[in-house]
Amino acid sequence: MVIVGNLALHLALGTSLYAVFASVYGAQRRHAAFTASGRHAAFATVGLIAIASAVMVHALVVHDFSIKYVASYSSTTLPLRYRIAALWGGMEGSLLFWVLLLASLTALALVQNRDRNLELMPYVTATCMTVAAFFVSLLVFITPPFAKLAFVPAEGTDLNPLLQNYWMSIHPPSLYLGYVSWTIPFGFAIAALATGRLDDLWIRTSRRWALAAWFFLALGNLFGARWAYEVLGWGGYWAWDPVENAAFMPWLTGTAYLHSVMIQERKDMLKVWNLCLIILTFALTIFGTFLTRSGVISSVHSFTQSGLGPYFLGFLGAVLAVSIALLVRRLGELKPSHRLDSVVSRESAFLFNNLILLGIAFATFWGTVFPVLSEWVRGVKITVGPPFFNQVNAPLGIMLLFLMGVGPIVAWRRATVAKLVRTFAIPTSVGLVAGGIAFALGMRSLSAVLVTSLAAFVLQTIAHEFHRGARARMAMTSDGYLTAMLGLVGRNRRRYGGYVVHLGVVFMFLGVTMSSVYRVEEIHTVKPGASFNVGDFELRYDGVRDLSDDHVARLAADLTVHRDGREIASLHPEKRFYKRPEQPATEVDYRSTLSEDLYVILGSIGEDRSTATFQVYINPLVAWLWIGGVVLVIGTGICVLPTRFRRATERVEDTEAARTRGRLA
Amino acid sequence: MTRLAVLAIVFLTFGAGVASAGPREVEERLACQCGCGLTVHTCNHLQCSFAVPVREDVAKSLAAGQSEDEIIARYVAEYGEKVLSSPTHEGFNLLAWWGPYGALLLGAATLTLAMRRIARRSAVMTSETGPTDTATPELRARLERELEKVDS
Repeated sequence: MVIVGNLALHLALGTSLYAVFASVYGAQRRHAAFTASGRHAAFATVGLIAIASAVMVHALVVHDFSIKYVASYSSTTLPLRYRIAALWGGMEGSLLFWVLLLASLTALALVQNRDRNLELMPYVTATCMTVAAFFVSLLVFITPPFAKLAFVPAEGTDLNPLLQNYWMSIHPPSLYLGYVSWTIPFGFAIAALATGRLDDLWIRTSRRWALAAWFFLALGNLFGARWAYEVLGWGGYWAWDPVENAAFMPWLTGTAYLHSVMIQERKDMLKVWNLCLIILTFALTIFGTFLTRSGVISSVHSFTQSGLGPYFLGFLGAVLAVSIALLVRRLGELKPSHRLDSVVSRESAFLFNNLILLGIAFATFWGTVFPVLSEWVRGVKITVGPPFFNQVNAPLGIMLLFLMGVGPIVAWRRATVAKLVRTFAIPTSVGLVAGGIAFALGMRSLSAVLVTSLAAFVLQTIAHEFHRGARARMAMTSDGYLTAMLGLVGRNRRRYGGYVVHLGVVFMFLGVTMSSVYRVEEIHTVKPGASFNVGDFELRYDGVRDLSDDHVARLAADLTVHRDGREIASLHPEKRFYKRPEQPATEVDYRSTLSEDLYVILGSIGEDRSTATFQVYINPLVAWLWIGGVVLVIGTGICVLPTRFRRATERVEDTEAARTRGRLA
Repeated sequence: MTRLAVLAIVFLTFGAGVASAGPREVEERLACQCGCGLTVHTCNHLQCSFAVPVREDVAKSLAAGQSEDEIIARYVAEYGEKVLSSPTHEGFNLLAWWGPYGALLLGAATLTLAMRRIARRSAVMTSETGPTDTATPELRARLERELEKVDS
């Protein structure tokens, strides 16, 4: 089987390189047979990478410990789902998985555009296959996934216990999907630059791809946060670790891109800016991969650390050089055809939103690389930890929240002072009242009061937008309120889906702020049968149970939780000791409600099990972070669902494509 | 084997992990050196060889009357600047704190200037080429109303 896997990888390198050559040659010489051949080579690459991946998964499932990777990341006692997840548990496997996703998405984009955008597609194929060829060449020449061991061990080292968790099974795939999907809109941008089709065709065609990439990156980050919350056992969910930052930065620039493309589509402005944003976002996905795998900056995500850093850095440099060169070549053709009517307008609100998003991305980048810079310049090692990022990014986040309320309601083109006062009077009053109530209820943290106030401001603007739209539709169609609302969303999915996403983000802001500012944290050492109080909760320690099996030794503490004299929950935090590799771990338990989470870690167990120490957190409103995530999923779903009535412009585009096809054929 | 592993848990975790309740502020100012990337306060390693003794030391030192800054200075003297969870507010490190805001201000200034220039150029283009010279105020107002409808 190993030979099949190796052969598939070598052939995939050939097919991906051929796809690049045939696509570019075909497009340059207007030779349809070559572009078709390039497309087929891309499909062949998917098939070959799928074969290599299947060989690896098979080896993991049947415990083929002759393969170094299988012996390093699995064992005979590892449950099946984690043996499959081990495909992305180590460096070589995760690279293979990455290229599998990339090739599959490229094929999907090719199928989707088989009859459309024929002018752009060869360059999209070439760009995506260049990236694929880079990753495959790493697998072929630098870190072969099917490397054999000199002897066959009876047992494998096993997957890192921290990765043996449900959320870890879905966190990397969604994150990788997010990273990889950005290649497609980047491919369209490069195609636009290469062909000179610099109108908004490339943006409209790749809009859903960009949204999908943004969505999966958001989901990947959220799943990672959830994993940290459930597994790492420090009561938090985001530690500003370099690798977390690496996934956060392209999400921020991607968010900026999704906003600014609206201006290009509507006003034919910001052409250069949008190209810059997509290049930057793609470059940041490669930079993120570099950070994860180089070990240049110390990170807890060392599962996939290797000596691949220089290759990624080189590739990143090449990507930037080629993209910038293409952009500079086309600068003269990228003049905006529309005009800016006023500095006070929705256009400028969007631009300032872009600025803040990029500001947060830069602050995150700056904090991530500053230790390296400090060592370089001063020769002094320093740490830039969570307090720095929280302190620097909090004001920027608050500004962003404010702009999220302003953007949707300030007028396009030109907003007069009178109009501004009229538009903002109610939302501002709602925000001020909410802030006042928060203060009256005892909230004294400035950031908490500000976020409460601004959240109310944004929520009011969103509610008003839905209400106003529904009323307008009622007047037009004589529908009932609810039907009008649904019709409104159905007909303007992108706009109202966007508002729903904003709603999710507001919930997240509230969850993150309140759980950070008002977290209660206590430590108690107790004997079985004894009770202790944390906040309004009374926790009784009932004893410890042994739940060990062949794979892991487990001790679970039983806690009964009372509130106001009523039993409300029983919690069972655990201490675990994995047998291969020998490693202790915690399994937290928590009771989650809309108002707060009661989160318990079993810190330690006394020598004769006579005592147990618990670290208990009360995290206010943290559930709203996850609820915000669900709302974000719903909002994105609304945005990407196909609209019943295609825009006239798209129909025109199809006709054009059909003409081009006729010419090429 | 299982019993041995259970004993190992008991042994490894006895008296470890979260036994001390040092003041959060000092612990948050110190970066854990075990590689977790967290502060001494939040390090989640059960028997962390750095965070656990530091938490105990911080608690003892505070009880003995040492100030927060004295404790921090002692750790910096021993481990260097890297023991601080955030860069200091002096010298080269000021660049870490103010770099993002400087970049933001620069971006905001550039953006405002660029927008003003574009808006001014747009206005000039409109007055040179537009038919507004002949438009009455009523017509202009009507045009604004219609455009508003389209945009909203």
